[in-house]
Amino acid sequence: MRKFLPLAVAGFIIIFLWGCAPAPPVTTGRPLEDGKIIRIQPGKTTKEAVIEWFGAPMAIAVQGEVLKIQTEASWAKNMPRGGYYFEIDSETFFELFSSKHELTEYHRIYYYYHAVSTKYAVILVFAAHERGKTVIDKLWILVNEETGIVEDYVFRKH
Amino acid sequence: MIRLSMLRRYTIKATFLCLAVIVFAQLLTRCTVLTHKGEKPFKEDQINGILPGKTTKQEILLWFGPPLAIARKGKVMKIPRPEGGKELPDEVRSETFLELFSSKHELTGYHRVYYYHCAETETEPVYFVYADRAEKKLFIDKLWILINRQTGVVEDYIFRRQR
Repeated sequence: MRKFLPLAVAGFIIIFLWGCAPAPPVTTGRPLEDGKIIRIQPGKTTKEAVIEWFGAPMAIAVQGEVLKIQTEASWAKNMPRGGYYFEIDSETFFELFSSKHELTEYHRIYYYYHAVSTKYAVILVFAAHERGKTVIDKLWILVNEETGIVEDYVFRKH
Repeated sequence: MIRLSMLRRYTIKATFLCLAVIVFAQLLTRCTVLTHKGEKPFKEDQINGILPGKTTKQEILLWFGPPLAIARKGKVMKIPRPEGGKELPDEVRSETFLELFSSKHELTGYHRVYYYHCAETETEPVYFVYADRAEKKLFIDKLWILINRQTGVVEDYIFRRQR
């Protein structure tokens, strides 16, 4: 019996940790670095420069259309979950710029986000508490497709 | 012959021990609670900072970001589900949101309702040997803000905290 005790203890620990172990962060999208954000100059920065700095947008909003956006990957139970899409009216994004700009059919909003999902666990003797958290930085860039110039942007850091 | 029977006895003991360990460990992990926050939670001071007749649309957008949906007369809104996942968005008639303010305000074509929500899910896995399922609780805080587009000023708001 004693021979099997270490094996049993090891098995117990592995199974106990199975659902509770801290996990590496899961990220979605490219990091939206402050250094790059401050380089955006409304009225000067071109659409090409934006794509060069941040890559292809996660979504492009066109007035009157419904936008399909990929959800961020996040920890759910024991595994990362994501890759789904949700739909939202483009109007909600255009509202950000509607009071400062006269929006035309040529306006587009390039939407970027960077999400980091983490989880940690507090393992006690007879209980375990696990907590997951997802933080998302979001960037909306108003581009005039006729001129190819950035007219404004909004950045929200979580 | 004796060795063989001893080995068999040890194997049976070890199997029982392993099973007991699995069941015991699974029972312990019952207490596991996973809370997932996907959105920025509403701060009390931000909610209290909304002053009908004074706060502007721009301030709202600055504090809370773009709304999840904008209600205006005659429109059907697509609202992302708070729990996320692959489910289709809810399609809601704008009137259901405008109705919230209809008794206190004379609504015109300039009125919009900005809708925000913040969801938090709590998952409590229940294990039974290898089969497990999870009990999920969803808490949603909801915020509706009535804005007059003509004046750009907030006229009213309703906030419901679920926990």
